[in-house]
Amino acid sequence: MIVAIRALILYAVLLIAMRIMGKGDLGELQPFDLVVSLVLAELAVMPMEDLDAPLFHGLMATAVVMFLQCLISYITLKSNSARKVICGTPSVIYDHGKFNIKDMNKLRINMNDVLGQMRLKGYYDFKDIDYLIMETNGDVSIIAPESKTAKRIKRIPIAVILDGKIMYNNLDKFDITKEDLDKSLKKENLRCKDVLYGYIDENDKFVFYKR
Amino acid sequence: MKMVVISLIILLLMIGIWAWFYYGSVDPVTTYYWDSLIKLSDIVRKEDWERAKRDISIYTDKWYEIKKTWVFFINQEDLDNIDSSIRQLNIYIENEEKILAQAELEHLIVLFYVIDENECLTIENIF
Repeated sequence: MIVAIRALILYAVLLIAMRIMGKGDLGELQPFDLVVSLVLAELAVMPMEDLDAPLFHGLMATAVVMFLQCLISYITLKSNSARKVICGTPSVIYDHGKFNIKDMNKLRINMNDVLGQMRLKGYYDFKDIDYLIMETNGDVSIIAPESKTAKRIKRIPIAVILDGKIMYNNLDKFDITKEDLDKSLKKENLRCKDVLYGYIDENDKFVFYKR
Repeated sequence: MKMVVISLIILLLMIGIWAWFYYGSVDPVTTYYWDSLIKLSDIVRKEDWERAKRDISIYTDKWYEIKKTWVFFINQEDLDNIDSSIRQLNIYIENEEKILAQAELEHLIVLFYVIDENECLTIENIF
């Protein structure tokens, strides 16, 4: 009976903790979020099983993990560089016939993994797809035309502004000048901080979405 | 930001409860028992059994009062060890067993020392 009551209390605490941390579906979790979920589960199980351990130990550890998770989520929401360090960045594995071997080695994925992921998404030939991107949550995105006769995507959008901050690394990578960006912003009568998401589409046009 | 503040408040509350428990109970209680048990050890050595019986009765009653709060924060096994040691000490003093009572007193001092050591915020405990 004691185990049942302790389990009930810990279940309620975990439920509150998960709600405060704002968890999504397990499949959408970042690797870091998954680790936090596993740690929380372990923290809950220990005082549930061990009747000698006071509940307070489990509650204190849960409070610490919950606070750190909320803090990290807030920091990654506000800072692009922190997001890069904590969540990583998506990697383009395949781009119009070219494989990014460097990123594949970095992510420790081989051709069998790529082919397996493609089959899972319903594609069997690289000719049918334009891009294969490894997302930060470990999922694979495939960008492909809807049919063989449909228009092929020349290039995925290049993000130039995220959360009001200019993505200088993308500007450098794709030879986009700051002057061009400023000119486009001025034309739209926008300031950088007003833009939630700005990108260059496949026709090299700047597109901005306001906050 | 709201969730960060809420989780921070919860964490600070938990730390506050721990600080209240450690500085308001564990630290003073363990110091009290060290001093009291050392004094009791002297009384047992002098074989003043009437005073020893009176003192151990006070310490036993006080322990059961303290245990009501400690049970929420301290490992049950540590509390059971103190319980058992106090019961044994009571019997030895009641039967005026000098050597056994002295040995059990030392054991009880160590048990309180261990609790203080385990709860104390030190580098050794963290690692």
